[in-house]
Amino acid sequence: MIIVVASGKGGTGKTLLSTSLALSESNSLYADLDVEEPNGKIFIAPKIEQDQAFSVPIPAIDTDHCAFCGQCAEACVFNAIAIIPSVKSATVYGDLCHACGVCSHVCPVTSAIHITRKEIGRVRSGRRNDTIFIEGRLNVGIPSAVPLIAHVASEASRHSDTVILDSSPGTSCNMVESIRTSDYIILITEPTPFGLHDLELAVQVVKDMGKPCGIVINKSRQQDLIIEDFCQENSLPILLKIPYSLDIQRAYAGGIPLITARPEMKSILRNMLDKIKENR
Amino acid sequence: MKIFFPLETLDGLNSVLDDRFGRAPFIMIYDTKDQKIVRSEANPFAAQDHGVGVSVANFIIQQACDAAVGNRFGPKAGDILKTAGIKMVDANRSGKETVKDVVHRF
Repeated sequence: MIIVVASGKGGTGKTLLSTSLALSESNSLYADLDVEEPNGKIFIAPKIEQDQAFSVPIPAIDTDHCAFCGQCAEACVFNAIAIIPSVKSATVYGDLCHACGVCSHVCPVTSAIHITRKEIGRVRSGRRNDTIFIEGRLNVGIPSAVPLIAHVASEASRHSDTVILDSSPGTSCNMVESIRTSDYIILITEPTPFGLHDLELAVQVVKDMGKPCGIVINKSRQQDLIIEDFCQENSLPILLKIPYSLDIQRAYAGGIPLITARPEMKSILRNMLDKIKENR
Repeated sequence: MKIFFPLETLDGLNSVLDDRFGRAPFIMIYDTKDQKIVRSEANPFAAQDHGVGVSVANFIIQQACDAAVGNRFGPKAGDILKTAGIKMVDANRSGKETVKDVVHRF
């Protein structure tokens, strides 16, 4: 089963929860999909076994064979191609290109467009005891994280046991790609107006994608009406409350997993996972 | 000479130039030889998600313009216009100018 921990607002506790979920469940896999700033490795502390570059296919136009007809530019929905017949110039802008292959498909000339690889990040994997770890890390300056997120999520989904995905923050493309392959979504939030506002956005995305979800309230003050009321109105189950407590904050800041700082959380998290699996 | 203008308002020669290039709400092409407005309309590329600079630059080339006027040209639009040999002319340097103001400079 693939479970993703996402949020609307950043900093609500995705990594806090997802790393400890993975560490609580034997033979699980933890994947860090926050490829712009992955930090799960600090808490899982795996021994790294593989570290490879990840690249995307970007077309390149050979101006010796190009007819400068402009059909590729016309067909490109991302406007990534500029053809200037008067000076025999044909350029593909790699940062706009989404590697869909349509240009290559419509090109009337053979060998005018060929595919090159552009490195956009790295994937590291390893293990900590019986927890498998995978992380994607986007190279600085690359505008789109989505292909890398998709790749890491795909690699993670090959695992036969429980998969815990640590989503990218927010509610746009990165988060959508992070949750796309999951069976269940845990949305973690905090009981503040900002937390509620972004939770509402996240719930909308989850609903649009037709996936089941449950809410975890982090930094809980025991009574968290601002979130509880919303959950009740929208029939969203509150799976867990993590208390607003200095020792938990201190542990996180020190790179110590939640279940190490609060050992009683281990069975609580395992029970939560069992319940999620049961209700499938 | 055919000149491309990105505009904030659409008001013939009194149209005010926009500080943006690709996402200006209106566009105009003016022919200095015939002294007339060849095209004057809403910018069809303004609301595009991606690659607006590329689209507008491609359009300027297709329309056989000789020059493009703007406050700033993005990296892609600038790159394409430069490669195509289309003159880029600065405007709105100290306040908003109109098409009339700029045409006088040619």
